[in-house]
Amino acid sequence: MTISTQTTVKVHRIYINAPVQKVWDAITDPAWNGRYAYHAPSQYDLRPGGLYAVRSTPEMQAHGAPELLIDGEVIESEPPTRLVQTWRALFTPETVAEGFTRLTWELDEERPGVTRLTVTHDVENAPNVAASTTGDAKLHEGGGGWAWILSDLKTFLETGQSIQG
Amino acid sequence: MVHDDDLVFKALADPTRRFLLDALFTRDGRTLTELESELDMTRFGVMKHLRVLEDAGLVVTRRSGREKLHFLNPVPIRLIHDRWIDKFTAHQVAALTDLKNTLEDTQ
Repeated sequence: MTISTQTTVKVHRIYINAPVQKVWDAITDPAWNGRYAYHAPSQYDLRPGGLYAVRSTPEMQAHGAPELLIDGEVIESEPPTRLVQTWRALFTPETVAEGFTRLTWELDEERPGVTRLTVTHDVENAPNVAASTTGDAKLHEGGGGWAWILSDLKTFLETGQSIQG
Repeated sequence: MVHDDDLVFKALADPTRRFLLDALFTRDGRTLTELESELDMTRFGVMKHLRVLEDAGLVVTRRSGREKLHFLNPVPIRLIHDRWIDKFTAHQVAALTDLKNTLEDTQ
């Protein structure tokens, strides 16, 4: 029998044919980050203690989503390569109760014009947050979750189009 | 290593490697020793399989103190889903819809 403690960290890695700065902007700049995946713009105040807020789209609100969808705080910001933040999902009572989780974005230049993006989500003691970010076809058409978001981020940066149109 | 569909398909075309992915899906962030204990295979054999999975981007490793932890990275499978499976399943659904319309029209 193996003796081990269960880690509750989820790691997502993707390679994108775009320069590091462009990927950074697509994540942190609301002019860009509302144009793929859920199409909900994210506001970042990129300094330690700065606020992070994702507002729902009118379509999401029509389905009962709260106006403020996700919130958190910036812990570390080293543009354009590293961002550490807290992340709290406000869309269900269960995820609200689990409170703030920790999210780390790492952007590395694989070679000129190609970025390796690694998103590490520490979901310790937050099983509902973990489930909702793993992606579940029953909860969201297209699966949702980080893998789906990052897939669409790649498509958006490489083709200028979101899978979601 | 830049993501490559061929590497992902090759990595998935082996029952031991699919077993390792399932094991990580059940419980993520495991050491080689932990993974090895679930397989009737030498340490070297498990290492070779993990290497193939890592090269395909399906496993990402992280150092934690003296330990190297293995994490399942679902993104390459998602990319294949979005680029291939969606296309074909969408077609199937469309074909069924066409069939339904045809059958209903002939009634």
